[in-house]
Amino acid sequence: MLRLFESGLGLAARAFDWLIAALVAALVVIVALQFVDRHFVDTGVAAPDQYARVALIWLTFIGFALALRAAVNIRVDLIDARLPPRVRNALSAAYDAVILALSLLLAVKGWKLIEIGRDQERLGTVLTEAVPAAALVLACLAIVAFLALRLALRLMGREIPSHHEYVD
Amino acid sequence: MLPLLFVAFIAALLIGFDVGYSMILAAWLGIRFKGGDAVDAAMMPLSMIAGVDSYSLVQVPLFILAGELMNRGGLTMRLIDWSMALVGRLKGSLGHVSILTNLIMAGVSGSAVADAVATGKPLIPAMKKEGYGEGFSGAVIAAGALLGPIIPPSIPMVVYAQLSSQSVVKLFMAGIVPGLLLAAGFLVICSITARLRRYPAREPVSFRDKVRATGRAGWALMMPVIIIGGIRFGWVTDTEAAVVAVLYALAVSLFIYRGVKPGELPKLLSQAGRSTAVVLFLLAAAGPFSWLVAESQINQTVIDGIQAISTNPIVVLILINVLLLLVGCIIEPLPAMIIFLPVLIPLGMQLGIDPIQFGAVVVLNLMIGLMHPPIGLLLFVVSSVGKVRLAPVMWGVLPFLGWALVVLALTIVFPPLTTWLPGHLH
Repeated sequence: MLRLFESGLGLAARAFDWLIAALVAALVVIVALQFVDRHFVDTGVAAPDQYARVALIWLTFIGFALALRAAVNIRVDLIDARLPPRVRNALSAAYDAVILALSLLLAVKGWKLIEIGRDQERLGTVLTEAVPAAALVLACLAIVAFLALRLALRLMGREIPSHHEYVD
Repeated sequence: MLPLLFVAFIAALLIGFDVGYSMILAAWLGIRFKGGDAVDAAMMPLSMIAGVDSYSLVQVPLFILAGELMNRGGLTMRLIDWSMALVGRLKGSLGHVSILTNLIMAGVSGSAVADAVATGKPLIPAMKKEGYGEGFSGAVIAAGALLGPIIPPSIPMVVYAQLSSQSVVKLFMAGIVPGLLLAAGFLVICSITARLRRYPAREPVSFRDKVRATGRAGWALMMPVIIIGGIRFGWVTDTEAAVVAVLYALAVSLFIYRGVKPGELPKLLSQAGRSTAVVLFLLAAAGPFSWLVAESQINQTVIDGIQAISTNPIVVLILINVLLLLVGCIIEPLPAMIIFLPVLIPLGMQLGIDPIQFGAVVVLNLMIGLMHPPIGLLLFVVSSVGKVRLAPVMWGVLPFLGWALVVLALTIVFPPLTTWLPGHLH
């Protein structure tokens, strides 16, 4: 069961990795189009800046979920690095549990934003305000799943994989 | 109660809890234990989204991607070869090469760490081989890389602009003079060290070979000209400059230098995306945290405390800088900026300090934190990349650190160093 969960999350992480690569590529295209539109020919794309902002929001939250999974998020390890391995592991598990709980809270509260945002158009686009809120909710749920797996692996005494891989 | 949460937040940071989630946790506890009218916790996701819902932040992933392409595409190596041809005959020339290469690279990449890796990998082994000593070899790379976030484009400047609602372009321009002053001083330190330690000089390069090296590096040399010139003369906006940098680096890397294969692009895009997310998530988390800062009136307490000491803008700037230098000993620059600027920006404004000068000084100060012991990130990066011991690098960096502090003092005392160029923008 756990193995199935693990491989499912592996696939999800891979999909997220492709998604953030696509989002960065989309940002390049959108800003380039805006440059062309301003200096050369009318591209007919309305409100490209709004699309770029939505893409950036998705990139931030989904990318952070992946960064947290790979443990490359920003933290101060001044004291942490000097602790004995057993204490460090216990602290890491406690941090994971707190982040998991906070992410769950953010996902629940974020869902409320999706419900409210469904009826609010994003200026000049075909999108609603639910789209950026969905990025946060999806990322928080992914964080919950990634950390739940990590906690389960810890409880079973198994090694935590590093997950530094990127798309090929 | 709320100011106590601020203290708890600092404690959470110090024991190694994620910086972004420390801010979110503190804000949530603030909502739970706040007296008076209840606040809906939906404010947290809402302000997190608002924290990154900004078009000017789009340039962050673009400049990171441009830097990645430049390093992978062989542009950095061409710059090193060019610098070598230009200053190779000087004693201890590899130190000069490092500073010069980083100065040009700083005009494209906004990340000190990326620059340190790109120049440290080839240059530290070469310096060790020529008998430079591991301390100087690592230190000169760390010092050169420091120029990355000072000379435009600069990711910390973009973050400051977002936090203070200032013009990114003006902030970019404000970094040029301090960046050039830093580079000039670093070159002098290299010369003095080389003479004192009798580092070798290389064979002089003929004029024809210099021209040839310049021709080979021409595409790489054009990049900062296009970006800084484009922004300075108003041909492109700051965000457009970022996309021009990406497309230029992509074209040169794929078709001219051929250092990048099309198949590698998804990986590069993904790496740039992840690096961006780690930075921008801090800005997202700063949304709910700003509520806590405002609600706890911690900023007013700090303002009152500092104003009780002095209301002279220069004295206050000096006090802020001492505080930030101390902060820089334990917290990395970007998180430090996001945590402390909501408190410090109102103070600067209240005292009539030019916000552009304030931004340039703060960024310069916190970037100095990248190379001062004990946690200067660049020291660890060069130590790991160049396989040199940390302790000699920490000693070796002291002269460079001293000069950086002199430049910081000059930017505090002489505002035109940071405000003159932005004042001449088209």
